[in-house]
Amino acid sequence: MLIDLINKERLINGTGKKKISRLALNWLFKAVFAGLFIALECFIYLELDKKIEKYSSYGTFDFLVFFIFIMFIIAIVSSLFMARKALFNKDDASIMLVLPVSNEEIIFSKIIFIYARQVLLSLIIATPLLISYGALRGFFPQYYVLSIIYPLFISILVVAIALTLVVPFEYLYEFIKRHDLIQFILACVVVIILCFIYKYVLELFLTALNDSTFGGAFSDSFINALHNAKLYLVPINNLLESFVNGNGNLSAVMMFLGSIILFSLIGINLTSYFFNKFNRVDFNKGSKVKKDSKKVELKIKSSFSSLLKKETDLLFKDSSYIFSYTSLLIMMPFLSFVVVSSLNSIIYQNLRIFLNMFPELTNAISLTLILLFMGVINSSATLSISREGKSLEIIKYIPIDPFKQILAKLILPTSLSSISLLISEIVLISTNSISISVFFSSLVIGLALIVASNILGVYLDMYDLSNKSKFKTKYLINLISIVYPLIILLIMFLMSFLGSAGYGIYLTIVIISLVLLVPLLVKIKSRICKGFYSMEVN
Amino acid sequence: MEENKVSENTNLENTFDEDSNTQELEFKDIDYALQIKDLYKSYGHKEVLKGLNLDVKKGEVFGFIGKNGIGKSTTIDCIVGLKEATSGEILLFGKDIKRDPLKAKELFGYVPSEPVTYEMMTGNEYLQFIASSYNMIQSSFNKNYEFLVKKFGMTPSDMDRKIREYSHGMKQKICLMASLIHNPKIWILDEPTVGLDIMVYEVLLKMIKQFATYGRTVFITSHNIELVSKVCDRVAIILDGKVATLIDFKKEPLKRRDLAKIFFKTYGDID
Repeated sequence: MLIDLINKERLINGTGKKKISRLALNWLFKAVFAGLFIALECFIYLELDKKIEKYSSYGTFDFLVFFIFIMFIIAIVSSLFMARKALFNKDDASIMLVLPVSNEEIIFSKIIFIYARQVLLSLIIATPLLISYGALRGFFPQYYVLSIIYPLFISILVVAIALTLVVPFEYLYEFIKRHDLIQFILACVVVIILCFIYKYVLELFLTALNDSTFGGAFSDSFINALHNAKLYLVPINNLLESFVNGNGNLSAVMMFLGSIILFSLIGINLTSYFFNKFNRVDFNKGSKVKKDSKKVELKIKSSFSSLLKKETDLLFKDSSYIFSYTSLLIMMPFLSFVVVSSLNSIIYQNLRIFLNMFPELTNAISLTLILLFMGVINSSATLSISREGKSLEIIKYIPIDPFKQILAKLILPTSLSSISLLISEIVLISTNSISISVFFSSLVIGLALIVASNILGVYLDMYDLSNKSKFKTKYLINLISIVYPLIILLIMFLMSFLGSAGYGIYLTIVIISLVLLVPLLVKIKSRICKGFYSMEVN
Repeated sequence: MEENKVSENTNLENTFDEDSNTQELEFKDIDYALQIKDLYKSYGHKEVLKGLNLDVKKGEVFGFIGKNGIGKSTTIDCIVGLKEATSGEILLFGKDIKRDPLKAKELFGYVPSEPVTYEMMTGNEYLQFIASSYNMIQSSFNKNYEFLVKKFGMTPSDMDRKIREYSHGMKQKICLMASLIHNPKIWILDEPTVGLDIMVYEVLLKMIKQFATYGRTVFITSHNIELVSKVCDRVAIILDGKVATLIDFKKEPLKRRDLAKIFFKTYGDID
């Protein structure tokens, strides 16, 4: 039974039975991705390790502890999300809780599934770092064996901590889900934190690339602070002290086992107690009954303004769009400033030699980055028909002209993205991060890209819903948002390399972008109406 | 864009009020509320509707029943424009859903089998959105809103809550209210009783009967044979993509109680 339950978890989490060819392709893709990730991770780590070695011999171990500790925290967070999804899945619970299977068996099967995934993740993330560290220092073979079995033990602690935290996390999650404003504020805070992490990782990468010794994030004070803080990075510090340096074996093992027992006891008991309670409770029901609801006067609006309001609600009251679009739009000026200014300094510090070959190198990269950010952020709002979800059938049967409906869908994201682009450009030009030519050309191309991708998103969405093919063409929009800025970069490089004058390059890319927009606008009304009526709703 | 104001006969209270004696004057020259002519619909190679023909008279309650997966919902989807028929013609009060979709859509109110709404809206916002989509006049909306809120037993606080916080039954109620807010000429209901409590079920039963009393039409699909036999004037049983049996309860009133038997007989499962 337990095996069946674990298998069920595997199936509902998307790793179920597929055709052999698809399965092979899927695994190949995952293997390539994991390989690339391990290669990049080891490269950065080894480069940084070499630099730290020159500066301080003990610093390398401190850095290993710090790196593995970060991975440990990431593992706990990912397990926490995994545990919440697995344990408090109401659809699954509605089936399982009525079957003659004990709660213990259900919970245990879910824990085993989470643990197995965690071991796999840890094998990809932590083991290569430990092996790299040992290989650089020529450690004995038993060290590598320990590196390989390390995920089996650390994952027990990771899952136990995640289980301890999952109940309060579920409470918090349901609370946030019910409050749109809190969601929005949280999304903005997350984006700001991610911006800083991005900046920090970028600096880390730069330090790894830079031939000179220390710089950026790696200052003397950082290394000293790391050494002092290492003591508090429990249990990783104690575990690695024993594992790598052979210090305090018994105390480390006892502490580690003690933590596992403590967190497992709390986690399993808490989860078992709340599993039934949470899965039988509907958090939404009766949660926000307004006792003093007064009679409100409901004004009838024009059909177009009611459509615009509906689109605003879809974009601002849906948590997935709050995180992937609206909060990113607000942060776009900040994000583009941080990244463009950092990259400008990278190019001047490290790649100045290339400026002789490609005089427009800095401008080209800045322009590409602006378009890339705008394109990627905007692409999450381009599939305006898919955004309807189940309510797609409402737009199909209400008596409003399809073109009017689609226009309302296009206006909102296009205006919001355009405003965000304009503000970003103003921030960049006023801080001298971009030249005036980059300002104008990226503004025009950016606007063309926004309009084009939003219209194309509608066409592709309609095509998919009319054709019912398994291959969803709508996802091409994400690819286009990334590929088009890179094509612009390539054109600029080529023209710059061939010695074209600056204004000629900018004029060319602006004209190309505007010309590419034209085919999308031809017969737009009739194409939209035809596509709208041929869409089929299930 | 020309706005099509639904300004005539929009007061829902009159439609359900036996004393008001409002007679339908619109479309007086048209006999049929719904006409389906030679309707074909395929999904890939699978043909679901194979030349379906149906005439629903003005002012009647018409039941459309059949086994699961036989094409009932596909037929309704084609009528309301959710799906495009492979061939054939669908006329709502003479308006072709394919050639004149906006005019045809103004005439019906549709209740899907599963409640579909904008869940991030409140009940009030959703009704407001639907009413605006039909370009309703403010005064008609106010009257119909009051009438429906009272009829379905919704409180102001219920209406002020987000739909995603509603129970299944309440979501079904809001769909029923949205389908009637513009006082449609034909009320199309696809399995409307799923998730409704007995009180609302009774209200709905009464509303269906009253709705058709003064010239309005009801087209209903349901697995609930009891409901269909109680409220419908005529019933069609679909088999193999066509209407297999058509029963007129006005002509053959005794068949009302034998509907379940006739249903099983149509599918050759008399035992």
